[in-house]
Amino acid sequence: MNKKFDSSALLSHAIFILFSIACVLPMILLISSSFTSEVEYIREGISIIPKNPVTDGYKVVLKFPQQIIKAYGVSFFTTIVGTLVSLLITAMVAYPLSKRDYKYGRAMSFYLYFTMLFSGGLAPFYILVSKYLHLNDTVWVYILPSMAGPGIIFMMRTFFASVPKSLFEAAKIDGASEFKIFRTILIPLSPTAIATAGFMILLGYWNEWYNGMLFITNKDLYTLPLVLKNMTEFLNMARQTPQLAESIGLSTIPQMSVQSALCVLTVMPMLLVFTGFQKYFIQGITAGAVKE
Amino acid sequence: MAELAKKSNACRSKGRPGEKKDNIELFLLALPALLKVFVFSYLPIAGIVIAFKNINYVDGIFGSPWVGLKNFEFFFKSADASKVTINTIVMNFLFIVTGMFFGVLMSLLMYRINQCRKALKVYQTTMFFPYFISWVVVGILLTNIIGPGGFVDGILKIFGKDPVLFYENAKYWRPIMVITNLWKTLGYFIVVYYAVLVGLDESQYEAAYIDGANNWHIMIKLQIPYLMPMIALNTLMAIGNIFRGDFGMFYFLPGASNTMTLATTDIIDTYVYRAITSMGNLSMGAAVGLYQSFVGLILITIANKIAKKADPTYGIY
Repeated sequence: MNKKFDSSALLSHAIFILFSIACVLPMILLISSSFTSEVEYIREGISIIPKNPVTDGYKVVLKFPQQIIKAYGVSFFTTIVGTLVSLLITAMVAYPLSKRDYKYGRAMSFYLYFTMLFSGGLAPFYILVSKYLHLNDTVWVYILPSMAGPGIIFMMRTFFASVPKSLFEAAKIDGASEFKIFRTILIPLSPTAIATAGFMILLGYWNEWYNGMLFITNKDLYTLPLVLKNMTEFLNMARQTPQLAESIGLSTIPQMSVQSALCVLTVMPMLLVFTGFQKYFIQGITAGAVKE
Repeated sequence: MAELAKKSNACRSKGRPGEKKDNIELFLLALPALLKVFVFSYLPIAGIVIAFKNINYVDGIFGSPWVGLKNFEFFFKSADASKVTINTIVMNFLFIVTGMFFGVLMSLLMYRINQCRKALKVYQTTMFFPYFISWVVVGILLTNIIGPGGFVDGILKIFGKDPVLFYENAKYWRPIMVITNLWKTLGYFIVVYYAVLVGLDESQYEAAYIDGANNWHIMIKLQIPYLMPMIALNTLMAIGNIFRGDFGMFYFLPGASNTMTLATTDIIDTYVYRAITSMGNLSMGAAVGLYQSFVGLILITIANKIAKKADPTYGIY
């Protein structure tokens, strides 16, 4: 491959640069639209750098601090508690599964795998969670149903399987329990597994809206994505209903920049975390791929 | 690694004292996850019986009257059945084909420049950005681009053309969704295929060059066959899941309350959701959900069998 620095390499770079721009451009447009005044939006549309940047969008968003702060609070709580608990129990089940000589390993694998093949569907789930578990309008409805997804369990299992068995054996001879082995050997030796799985779980919780959409009616318990979703739908509806538009003074609200500002506030934390985790995450994905 | 396993098995022969204790401890470690899965994944399976009843919320699952296959009849007799089924299958098929084609192609291109570590790192990082954005936000991003006053309208204006009302016309949405899906998932696939490609030994390239192969030959006869197992596995599993759609995508991209594009954007999952929430028809929602799960199960079992026939290690379990 070194012999041939040729036009195809140039082509490759060109294509990737274009694609990278395509991936990043919508984000840039988002940021710039959050600083675009309504007037400019109507007259010129959105451009990469707004001609007269204003902070109106953010002002409006922060003028209703209650809603936003509460939403941030809910999202943070859900994400932190959810990620910690889910990651822990996922790792805990991935460990036995990673041991090829574990007596119940195959049965457990199938038990978990079957849920990827067949599910009861939305209706029974809805009735179970709301009528029988009474989780609606609680913060737990965000956390519990999404824990320990089989996909991530199997991914962690693959990573754990590469820890040398001899280490476990040595610990056994020293009389360690499986709990101790889990805590003192497996976890410290699997930073990539934990970072990769942890990040994917974290992502899921931060972006959580589905369970909220189904089960939460209390505005104080909305996650950020839900606030965003409701705002979007409300604005869309208001645009189409003149009376509603008038009653909230729609024309005075810089709708688009408000929406964009909220989007930016929702997306930025995730991108920041990703740049931090990025090394582990890409390593983890590629390692997982090669093990196939 | 195999030797290591053999040695440790010798130490750990069945009936070794302490093995039972180990098994119990391992089971306890696994228990929380197993319990959660039982409650949230297996209990709802029991709730499938709803599909055969005319449920009302008050009587609950056990009190409501049995109606046999009526809910299914209702669904299949309506025009919706074929519409949402076709949408689901067609869209997934398009996603699979485009994802595979561009994913493989671009991973090959990426391999061509794999000496440029720094550039690669930048590309891989930025390509991943769309993966983290939830569909709620992507929906808003999309309105910034193809909505009224958006990027596309701006460009059309420059060329003196009229703006296009994308959100009011169902026919634009198949291509819009395919492009958006690629935007969101390509980065992931490129990295995965590239990772596999990296495992192909350099010496094979050398040998091929010596035999007079040019880059085209290398690609077709060396690299693609090497990627085939991964491609086949991904494709088969995707086909197995062809009956299941990404709810967030199909719900938020066209706009949650937008009914004008449903001809192409309503899939089984969004249909079930609407049946349950706006129509309040839990029973039919359950019936359609069961239809989806059942066909999905058959498809994925077939896919898994085919995968295993090609190579016993391909199945997931």
